[in-house]
Amino acid sequence: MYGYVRPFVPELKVREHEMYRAVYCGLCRALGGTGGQGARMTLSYDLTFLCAFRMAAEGTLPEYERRRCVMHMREKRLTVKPNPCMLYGAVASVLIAKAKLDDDLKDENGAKKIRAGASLPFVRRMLARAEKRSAVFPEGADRDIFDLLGNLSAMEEAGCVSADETAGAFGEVLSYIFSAGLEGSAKTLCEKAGDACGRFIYICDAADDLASDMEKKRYNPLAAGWGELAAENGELSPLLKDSLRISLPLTLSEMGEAAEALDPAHPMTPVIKNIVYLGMPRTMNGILDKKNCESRSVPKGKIE
Amino acid sequence: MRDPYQVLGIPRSATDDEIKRAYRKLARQYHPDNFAAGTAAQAAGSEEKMKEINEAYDTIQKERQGRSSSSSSGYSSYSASGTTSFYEIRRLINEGNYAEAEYQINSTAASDRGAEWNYLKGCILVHRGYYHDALRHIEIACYLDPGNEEYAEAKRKLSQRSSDYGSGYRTVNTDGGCDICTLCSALICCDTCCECCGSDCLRCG
Repeated sequence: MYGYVRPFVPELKVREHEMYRAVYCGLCRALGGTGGQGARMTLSYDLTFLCAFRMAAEGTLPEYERRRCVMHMREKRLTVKPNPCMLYGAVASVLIAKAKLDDDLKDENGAKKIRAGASLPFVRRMLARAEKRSAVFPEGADRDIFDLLGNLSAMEEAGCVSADETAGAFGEVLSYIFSAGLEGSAKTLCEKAGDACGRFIYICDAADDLASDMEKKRYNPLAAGWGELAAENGELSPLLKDSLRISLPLTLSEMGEAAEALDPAHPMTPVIKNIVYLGMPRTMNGILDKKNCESRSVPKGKIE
Repeated sequence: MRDPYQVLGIPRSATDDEIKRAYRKLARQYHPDNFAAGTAAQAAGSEEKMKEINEAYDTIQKERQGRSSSSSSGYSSYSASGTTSFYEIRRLINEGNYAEAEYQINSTAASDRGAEWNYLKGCILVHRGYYHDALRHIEIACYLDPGNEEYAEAKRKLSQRSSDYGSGYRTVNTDGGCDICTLCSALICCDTCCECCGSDCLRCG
């Protein structure tokens, strides 16, 4: 998706880092197993978080296994064995990739449009295969998710001036993706985390893309709400930055509440708290002061 | 029941502000927590008194509420209806009826949308989790009415909550701990008291 939801590695314990990597590798493995080798391309940190969160909320204990893979031929790496949470994450990952391609096909021009059009049939097949192979994905969920995404793009097309309204619509999408197929308290927890996560990602993304959106005259929720005041010399205005520095952590505090409600004894809980309390604020700071690339939680690229 | 005005020790002509001040002063004075260290009889007495104060305050509030709504229905001026609706919205927020409060605030006439409107709208949005818009409304309220403590306080609280975020990550809780400094200072205090009484447990000079 965006890669905004990642841990702040220096503050992780060694074994927690190891576990996080195992979930990451495990998701890649689940993707290969359900959607086919091509589906591995959709691997992302955001969906890794989703898998970890669902495991902690459901109380599923991860089982580990050392495996070799195409990317890492030299050594066997620790991976989480496919369990319902990982398989769900894999299908959701392909689903999101397809939604993004649909979106590109509609909005973009030139090379990106061609690329989206060319890869869509493959992704469609991947999705069909993934959904068939993993029984964990609830029936009809893909349609619901596309409906919710439709609501969001309708709001964007109407030029909604409230960043929170549109972000809320995206929050609903993620809330659904986080919680589909769960029951009881795990469902409420996942809904809450997904909603806050979606709103955070959406506003971060809007801040990140503000300059390019204004240049290309595309809809941007922050620009729509703030008008002239949103940008200064082609970057975020100090006024908007100050406002975001207060409002984004407040949105995150709802994720914090969800993380606090997780079982503290579950092995994934400390990793999730690291992501929510340190990783995501770092992402926010990285976007708000773009010049200072070091403040990104991890240098761009892969987590080693 | 005694006359509520007498309980709070204020004349009937007192303004709303004076009532609130008198209530707060008495509440501080008679709060049961203040007597926690005293005898049980004292604590029970304060509780009784506190109950009486609360009842008196509620009665006056209700009485005045009735008066203000009846007087506004008597007047037909715009400003009167404007202030009443804000009062109503505040009541809805206090009761936790955010849906109705939001409906009413959105149906307020554009001409009535001043500082207080922005502040209340901000409060409702905070509850919905729409922090970005909430902050903007509260900032507008502060800008329109710079002297208002309530608006400034709301803004300060939001900023505080925001900057506190994440501070609880993996910190060791030291509350109630007994470290060496606490011990030393306690010992020195004891010694000072001893010296006052003529003896000395820590010899110095």
